[in-house]
Amino acid sequence: MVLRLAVRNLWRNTRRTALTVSGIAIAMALMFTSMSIENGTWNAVISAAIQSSAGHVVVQAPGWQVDRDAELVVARGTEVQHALARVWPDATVVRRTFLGGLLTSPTGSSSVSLEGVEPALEAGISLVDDRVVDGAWLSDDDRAIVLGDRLASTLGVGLGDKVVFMTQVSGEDMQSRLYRVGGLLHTGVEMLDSFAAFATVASTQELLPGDDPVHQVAVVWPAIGRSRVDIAPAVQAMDGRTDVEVLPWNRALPMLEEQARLDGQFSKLMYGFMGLIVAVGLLNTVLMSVMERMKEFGVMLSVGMPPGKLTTMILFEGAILGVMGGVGGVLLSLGPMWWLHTRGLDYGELMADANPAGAIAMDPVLRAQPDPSQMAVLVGIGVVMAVLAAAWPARKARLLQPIEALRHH
Amino acid sequence: MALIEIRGLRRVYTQGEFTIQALAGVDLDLDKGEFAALMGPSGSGKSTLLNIIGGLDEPDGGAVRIEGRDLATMSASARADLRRNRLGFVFQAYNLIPVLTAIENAEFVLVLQGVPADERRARATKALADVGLAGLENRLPNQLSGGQQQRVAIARAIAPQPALVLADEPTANLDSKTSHELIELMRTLNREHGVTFLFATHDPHLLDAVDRVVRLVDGSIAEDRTRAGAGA
Repeated sequence: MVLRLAVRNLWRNTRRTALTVSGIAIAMALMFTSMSIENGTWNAVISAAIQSSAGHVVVQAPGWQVDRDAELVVARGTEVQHALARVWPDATVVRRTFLGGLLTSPTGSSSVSLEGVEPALEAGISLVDDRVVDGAWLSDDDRAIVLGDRLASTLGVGLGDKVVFMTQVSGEDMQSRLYRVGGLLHTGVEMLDSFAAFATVASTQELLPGDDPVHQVAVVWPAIGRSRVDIAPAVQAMDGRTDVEVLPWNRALPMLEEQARLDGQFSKLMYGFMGLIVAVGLLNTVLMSVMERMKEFGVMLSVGMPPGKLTTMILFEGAILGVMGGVGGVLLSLGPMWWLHTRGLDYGELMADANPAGAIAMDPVLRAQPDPSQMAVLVGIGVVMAVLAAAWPARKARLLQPIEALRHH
Repeated sequence: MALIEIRGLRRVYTQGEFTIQALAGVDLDLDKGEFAALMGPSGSGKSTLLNIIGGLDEPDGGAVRIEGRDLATMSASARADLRRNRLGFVFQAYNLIPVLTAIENAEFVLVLQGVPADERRARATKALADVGLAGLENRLPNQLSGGQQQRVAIARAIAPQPALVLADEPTANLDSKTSHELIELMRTLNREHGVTFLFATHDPHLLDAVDRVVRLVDGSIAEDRTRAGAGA
């Protein structure tokens, strides 16, 4: 009876109920859509970063994560790579080197970040090879180098031209290596287009100390996005080696995770404010509806309705508004989220400045990724807030004296 | 033991600097099966007395006992139980719950009492039939005339089979024909079903119908007159 009364009380003023539910639904739909864009963006950024700059699991020399000192290498990199491939045969395991230095041409020079990669394997997990706009991605040719198009412009070089990479690893003498430009890439990311270069890992190993040196052996599962992987099997596969450390992606890319976390918290704060505004609107609606029915409540109390049931009825009204608003919000958001999921938002030119991950080659079209569990939680929070908004009017009704309520006009 | 025993009942209202003595020491007994009315001019204390008997208002002095239970010793919750289980109310303005149909209004108190669905539906249907509303069970209050709404209010009051029905000006908003029909109806319920009624009224037709008239003046009983065979 109490639930039936609550439903009919809402039904008796359909316009007010419809407006209130619409308000909640629109706010919910905005939150769902905004959250799905945020999810999609961060998933794309982090997945791209995991695949091109780290891995779901990485093996590096202890300290390299912090210092990025070129002499901190993992010796016998191929051995490590094979050990990890045996542990995770379904994953792609790649070796990488990262060297800072100077790239010179007959007409110019520029500081550069040279990444040594295994071309075929890297092409399977990274988007960098897809961004080659002139020439070709790396092959087994250890003399080839792929440059960002702006870097090439700075150096005044084109395909087939020779460039020299110079670097100094710790206290060693300056070393250099000659490359021939095999491809130019354009990512839209300033850091990559102006300062990045790629060559085979084998060619860069000549510049590093030790036996088969690499800076990173990365394990990547392209299909699992930003999921976390238990690193224990990798630790075990290292067979007690103390010259390596095994890290999950969130420790290999701590800044990125922190940035995603902070962004998430800021969003929650915004959603919280939005929820509060909606709750105040709801409070007003329920309070108005309670004030209008004082005499009716007086009648109910007069014929013996326990005040607790009156409270429950009003809380039900709040909850029903919350549920209807939440469901309405889900329905309203389906269209925009579907469109944003299938078509996506082309950040294009904005990417250079807005890319939160820095120098990562990623698809400039960001797609919404709705998270049903997140939406369910938000609907739940919405219902709780709606019930809380109804709590004060409900308390007001509970404290009514029947005789005073009956005299109410 | 009287159904209602009232001793030295006082009620004072304060409005700013003024105090109004609504009841100034009322003594009254009402037995089971009575069909009685409180009459008197506006402000004489009729409604106040009815509200205090119904546990809706609290006196400033004196005692009210219903079936031997002293209202002053009862908590608000216990008074709500008493209203739900032993008393029925009929108001001048009908006071039906607008979102419930006639039969849902009639069974409202039965729901609060926890009567099983089948039984309460049967009792509410019978109560509506008793007040002449068979066939109108599914109408909402705004689909009924004033007289029909008051009949629903009476059905709501009698369906739980209360010890006493308190009716405050039940015919005041009705035309004389409807008023007459309702008085006849309540008289029948009193005679055939033994329902005890206590009215607060100005209506001369109702005053003609009751067995006993208690006249209040300035919060005191000025006359308590019992008439054998009234309304016959």
